[in-house]
Amino acid sequence: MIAPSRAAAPGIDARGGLDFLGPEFLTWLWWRAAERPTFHHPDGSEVCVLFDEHLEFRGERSAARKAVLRAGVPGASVEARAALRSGKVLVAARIVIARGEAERRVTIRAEDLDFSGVRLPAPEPGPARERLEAQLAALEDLEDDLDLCLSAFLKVRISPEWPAEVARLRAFVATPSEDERAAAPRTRVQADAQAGAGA
Amino acid sequence: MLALRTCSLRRYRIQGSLPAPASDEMAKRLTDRRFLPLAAREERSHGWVTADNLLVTRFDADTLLRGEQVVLGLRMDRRRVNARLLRAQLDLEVRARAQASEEAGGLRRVSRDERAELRQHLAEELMKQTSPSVDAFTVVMDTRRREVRLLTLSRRAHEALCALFSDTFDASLLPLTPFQRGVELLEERGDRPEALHALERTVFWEAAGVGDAPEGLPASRRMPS
Repeated sequence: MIAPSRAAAPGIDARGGLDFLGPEFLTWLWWRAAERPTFHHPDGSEVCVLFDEHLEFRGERSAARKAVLRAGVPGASVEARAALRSGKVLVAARIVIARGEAERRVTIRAEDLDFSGVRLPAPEPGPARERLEAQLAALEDLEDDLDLCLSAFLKVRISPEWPAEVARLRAFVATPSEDERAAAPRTRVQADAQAGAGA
Repeated sequence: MLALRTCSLRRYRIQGSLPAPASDEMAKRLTDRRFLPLAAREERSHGWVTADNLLVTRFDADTLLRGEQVVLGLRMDRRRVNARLLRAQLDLEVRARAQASEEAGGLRRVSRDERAELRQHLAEELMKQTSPSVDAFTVVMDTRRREVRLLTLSRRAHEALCALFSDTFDASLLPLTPFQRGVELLEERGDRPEALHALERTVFWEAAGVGDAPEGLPASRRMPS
């Protein structure tokens, strides 16, 4: 027989009354991936996280309760930062997680940490059974990589450093997005500098 | 043959003891709760099948083990009478009976009890003629990690899995939510998981107004205050 686990007792609320923990994790991960996309396993292997083509924000205090951004690179958009500025948090996002040459895509649904649309690397050609075993191993790796990100979040979330981390996230959200910077009309100083450089 | 190139899933932690993956006990328990086809009057049924073929309910190491993991199928059949079809048939039957009653010199009406009886009879007849909808979802049981993955996000399937797992193994499944997984990760790292209980919601941004432009943009692109 396999021994029982030491996890929490049955009957407890699976979210522990902390419905906000998952959305906070994903919101933090979005910022962390934009600032420093790499995470490191204890064995030194590097995991790179990129936010892909789907972001879903939700918030009870804004006029619109839900904002869904699709296609392109919504993480770099005006709309994504505007959603955070209006008090929303990220509840679902499609991300790319790369380790070595293996690139996996997954949509994380933050409240329950559900995975949808998981896309694993194509296994090496071979017997169907071996390919399935390789895919199961890839799925395990994906879970390990996401656990690594969650663990990094929790480390700072329960530490006295959290308010400073939130301040850094706010500063990031307060800066113009790539979209905004591209769309903003050039200032006189910028135009003069460019003209000077061209002369 | 099952393939996992794309999938959706939820993870669970196993709470309780399980038989060893390749043991006769594992096969016996799964066989005891194997999928059984719907009887004539049954509306729904669920049970274990093999992952490779939803018609096969013979469990052994060959059909179950993929590497170190147990892979099997959760089959769910459901038969439902189409309500509009039932209503239409009932209407026709009631009219026919009323007319027959009138022609026999009685009243041109069908009593409430008679109507209910007729409805029951028609529902049973239609049920017999209705083919069930068949779903089968992959379940991956990682006994080393004590983890179960159900490869769908269907709410009905998750409810069925938790009930069936408990019936089969006398063990329960705890969803690995951010909180549950967080507790485990903190324990693994030697941190106090109780720290999670003390957390309060973070307000990342005071919702001052939708569309507030950030600092650093020209004033013309800011919303008027």
